[in-house]
Amino acid sequence: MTIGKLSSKLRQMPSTHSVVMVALLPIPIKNRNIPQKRLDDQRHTNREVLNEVLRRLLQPLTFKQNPSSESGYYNVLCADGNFRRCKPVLAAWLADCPEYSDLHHLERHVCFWCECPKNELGDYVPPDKQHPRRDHNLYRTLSDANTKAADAELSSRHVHRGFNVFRHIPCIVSDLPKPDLLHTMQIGMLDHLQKWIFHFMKTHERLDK
Amino acid sequence: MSRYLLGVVTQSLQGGSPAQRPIFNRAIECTRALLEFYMYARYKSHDDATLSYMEDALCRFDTFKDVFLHGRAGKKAKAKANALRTELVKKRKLDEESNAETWTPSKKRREMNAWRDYISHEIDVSKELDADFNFPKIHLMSHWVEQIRRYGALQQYSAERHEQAHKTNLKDSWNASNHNLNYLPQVITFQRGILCFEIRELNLQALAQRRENSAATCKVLPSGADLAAPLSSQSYVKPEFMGPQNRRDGMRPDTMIKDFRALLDNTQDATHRVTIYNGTREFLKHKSHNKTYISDEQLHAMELCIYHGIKVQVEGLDGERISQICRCTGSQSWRGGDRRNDWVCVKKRPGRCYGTLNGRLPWQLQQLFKI
Repeated sequence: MTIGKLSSKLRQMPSTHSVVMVALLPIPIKNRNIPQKRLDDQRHTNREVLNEVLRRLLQPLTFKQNPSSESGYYNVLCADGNFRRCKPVLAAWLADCPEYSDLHHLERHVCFWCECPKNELGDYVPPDKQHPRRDHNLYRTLSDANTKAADAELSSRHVHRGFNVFRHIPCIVSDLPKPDLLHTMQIGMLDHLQKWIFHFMKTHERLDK
Repeated sequence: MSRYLLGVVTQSLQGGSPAQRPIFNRAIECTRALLEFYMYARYKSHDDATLSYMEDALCRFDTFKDVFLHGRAGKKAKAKANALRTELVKKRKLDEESNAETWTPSKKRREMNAWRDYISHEIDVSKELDADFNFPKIHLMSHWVEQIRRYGALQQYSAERHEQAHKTNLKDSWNASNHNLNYLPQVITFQRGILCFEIRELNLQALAQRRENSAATCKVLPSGADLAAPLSSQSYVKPEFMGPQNRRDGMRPDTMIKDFRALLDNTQDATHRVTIYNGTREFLKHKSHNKTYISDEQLHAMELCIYHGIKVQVEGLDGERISQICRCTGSQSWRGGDRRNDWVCVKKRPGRCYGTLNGRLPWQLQQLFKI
């Protein structure tokens, strides 16, 4: 966890203790060689466990525990010994793609910002023709409705059913993920590009040059 | 790495036949566009011009990326292509057998070459038809320009620091723990301990500065431990004194000394001698009701028992009660090795105190005795 008012130069320095560990999340066992149905059940349980842990962690922020969080001010003891009125807001959550899918109750291999269909992910999107943004308030009401039509609607948007803690705290859930240079570019796209170039040169017999 | 990639690609794709040339150029352009996009994304500040360059680079990448489509063929596409190959090879065999008598050797060779080219071409086409670029990360790039417009440059969000915290926060604390069954609380509290000491250091620096410059106001930073400390002092379990480890009757004192001066003579270090002397006098003054000054002669005539350890119930950083054993062998050796004088944190005032250590100060035990 870190706070948003730090300058990025200060935050990126390891010696400043700018990033504080808050909790250790449980890592479920990876079962690859089991039937699909059991795998789905297992994943469902994993999501529930993760959400329960996060719910306890973010309890002070949730609507239910703290009705004043709607207006949003707490008295917080600050580092200089004075109490101040603070409004903690969850602003960003950095993670890799699959982790976002788990956190936001989405299916794997979908975009967590917009409702882009899975088979159009590779297409170029002009800036003025973006897909509709994900609206987690809508997902919350659909998930609470618990009817067949709502479930069908959810699965058409590649969203899992169930309780998600982020939909119950004051934040814009689709704004939590931030573009991450490390995961998306350095070990994402550039890695892909290297593989493509390797393959390209192999097919055109240019590897030894 | 990304800086040199384009150079390497351009160098290795030099020359080539006129048929290959356009493909090579497309590959180079595609690499260039993606790397340009990456470089622009790493800018520390942006304006409309740089953002439009980013969009342009992404657009160019999209137009040229088809050249790598062949490399995107996944498992399914490859399996389909292999099935197609076996089918075509069967056809070729049928063709060969039916015309075996009419074909001359040279004609046969020509036909076989034609078949081979045909099959490889068919497989390439099949692979490219089945391959696509539908994976999430390629789509995420299209949101970056909008995100930069809304929240600023991307440098601030790089996860490098957070990934590195896996090492500093987790692996270091695991190494520092005793690798026992209850390692989890140790791992979790390790960083906080370090943080407490660093804030303590800042406090001391600020206090020292205040002494130099008395006009400047100085505030002492509290830490999370202050909140956890209970406000009222509660009764603790009475401490148990312990004798040397190797003796059966562990509760009995090591030695009885009738003369305080003998103890002082035992300690070699002069500073330690003064510390013990002053500490004892302070303690007696604090304990006695009449608060009279204790003369040196009175102090030297004190009768005392020397112990090797003490078991006390103390308050942890979280405010919970824990039993701790402190060992102090004085100038004697501990278990045949070096002498052991533990460090303890002493709370000087009751109740909630300033500072990260909650009013505690670290001291080293020099002698353990009961008067």
